Amino acid sequence: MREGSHNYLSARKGLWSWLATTDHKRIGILYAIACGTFFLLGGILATFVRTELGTPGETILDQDGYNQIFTLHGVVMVFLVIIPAIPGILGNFVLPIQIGAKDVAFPRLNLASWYLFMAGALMAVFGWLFVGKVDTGWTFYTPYSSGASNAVLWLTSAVFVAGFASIFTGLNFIVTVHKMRAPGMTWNRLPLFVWAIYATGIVQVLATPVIGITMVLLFLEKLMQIGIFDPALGGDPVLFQHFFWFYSHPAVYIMILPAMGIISDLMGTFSRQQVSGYTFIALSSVAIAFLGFLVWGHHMFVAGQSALSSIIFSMLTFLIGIPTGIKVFNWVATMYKGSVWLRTPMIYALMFLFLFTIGGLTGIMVGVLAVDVHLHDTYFIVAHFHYVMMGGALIGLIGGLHYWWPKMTGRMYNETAGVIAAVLVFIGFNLTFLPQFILGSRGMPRRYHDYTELLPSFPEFAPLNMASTIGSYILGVGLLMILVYALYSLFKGPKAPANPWGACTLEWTHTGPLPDEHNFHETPLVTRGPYDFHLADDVFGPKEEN
Amino acid sequence: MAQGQHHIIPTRTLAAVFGLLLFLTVVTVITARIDLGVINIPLALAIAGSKAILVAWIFMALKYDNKVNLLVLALGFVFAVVFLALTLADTELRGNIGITEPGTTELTVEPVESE
Repeated sequence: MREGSHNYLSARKGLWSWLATTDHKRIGILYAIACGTFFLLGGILATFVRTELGTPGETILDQDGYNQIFTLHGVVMVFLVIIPAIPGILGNFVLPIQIGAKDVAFPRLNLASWYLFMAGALMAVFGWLFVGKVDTGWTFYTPYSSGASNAVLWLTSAVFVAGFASIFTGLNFIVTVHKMRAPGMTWNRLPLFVWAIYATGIVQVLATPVIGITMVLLFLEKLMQIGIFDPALGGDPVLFQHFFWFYSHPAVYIMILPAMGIISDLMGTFSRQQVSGYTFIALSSVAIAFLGFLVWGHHMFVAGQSALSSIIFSMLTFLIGIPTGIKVFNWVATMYKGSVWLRTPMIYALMFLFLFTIGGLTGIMVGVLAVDVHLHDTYFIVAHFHYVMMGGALIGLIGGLHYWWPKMTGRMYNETAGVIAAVLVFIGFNLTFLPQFILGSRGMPRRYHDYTELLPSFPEFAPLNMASTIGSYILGVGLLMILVYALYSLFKGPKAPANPWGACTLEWTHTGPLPDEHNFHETPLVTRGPYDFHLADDVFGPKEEN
Repeated sequence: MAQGQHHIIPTRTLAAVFGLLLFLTVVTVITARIDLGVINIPLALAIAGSKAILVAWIFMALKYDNKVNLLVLALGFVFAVVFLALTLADTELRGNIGITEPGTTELTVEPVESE
């Protein structure tokens, strides 16, 4: 291992060296800047939503404004943050190094995917600013979207274009894992993050075209008045939901699977032992990827879907709990009798375990037909998917960013600040979303900007909403604190050693503090698994003989 | 098939497949003009599917290619079938939302005996 003075950041200079780069690490950084900006935007929008709901009555948004803001919050967070963030940032930066490759299989396609992603994002912003505000919700359900203004076409086109970025990224990772592994990097020596990104790639390639087709059909219907989804034209609005959820439910696994991969790596590294049930965790990622395609109808139990379909989808939904449970139990087992090291990334891993389990189990609850009839379109659903999407996917991302931050920037962040922010995020998150479970179970509907008329029957709505809003502010402070100490560490943070966590995967053991432009001077020869701490003489030195 | 070792498909095979595709196109047109009731759509899908398989198998050389590529195609096909089958399970039974006709069931409530 050598101290790399000629690293991927210093190898080339200037703005053009970034905009025209085909280096997977730099493209990962480009995604980080873009997704980080959109996350900030989505977060600000969420704060508006929570502020409006904090007290009864109309406060800062009227009903149209409220509908537009939560729509934009959903579109930005789903399509511009959670779906692209982990594959785009950490998948790009880490995956090729973890398998001992010099880059991804198609570096130019990789850069093209970032440009497509940015084009989609700019189309969304342009449409919003200059064409009109969309208030359909992020799901664009017909017939509402069929009758809405043409602004909805801008937004759906943006989703269409950004979808191609996702397909390119997934395709690139699948080929990279198949073709670019270093000698000795057998399938059962792949880090579990790689397995997760690989399974995600399968979903991206198979499912994303369907959202593209759906958006094209919506486009054709609106422009050419062809009856596909709009009942006024002889179409079927529930058919739109089939199309939409055939992509968007697997998309939930595009969001959560990479986070699960991060958690597996964190559990192994910070428990200092072999990840329990490695093969089961790896294959459960693939199982989730495939089962995820079979459950879309559980979003449509009360949409008028046939009883037979609902029963089939309900039963299939329960199956998803099996591979997910396999992962959760194995993560817990990994910590058992391990040397658990509670650094910031591990705190986020534990947070994931707690929050995602709540999100997952409440998902099984609403997969039950009779329960879903009552809870559909209430705040219970809002709480459930935020526990999965934020408590799972985004907490996993934040944990991963803390873990790989030293490798990406060459700097360490302040550990104390990291722990304080993590505690704030945990408290803020639960204060925001736990009350929403109660609100939803009492019948508070989602997508209402005011609940004054409900208060005589449900006086508890006021304090619960207030608690949720205060929680969102605490969560916001925690997240901003992360931004501040991350930026501070970029300029003032102490220089990171090559392997500050004593991890065993190649990005830590075979590169300097900052990786070189082409990652390795010599292609690594892999002789052990990613979590074989007892064999990792090259990390910890030879074992002392007793 | 390793890189740079492209299989040359005999012209006779290509011509035969081309002829078969033309024949299936004629069958498509003829069957479209005849009302066969419930098998209209399955028949049209079967003919179209056969043509697509012929193109992928011979013209796109999947028959001679690495079997992983065949697996990828098969996966796409399987998921298209899953999508169609489960969506049709809804659209073809749309009226059935599990509610029986009025008067066909009798609700009886057993009185609870207090102890």
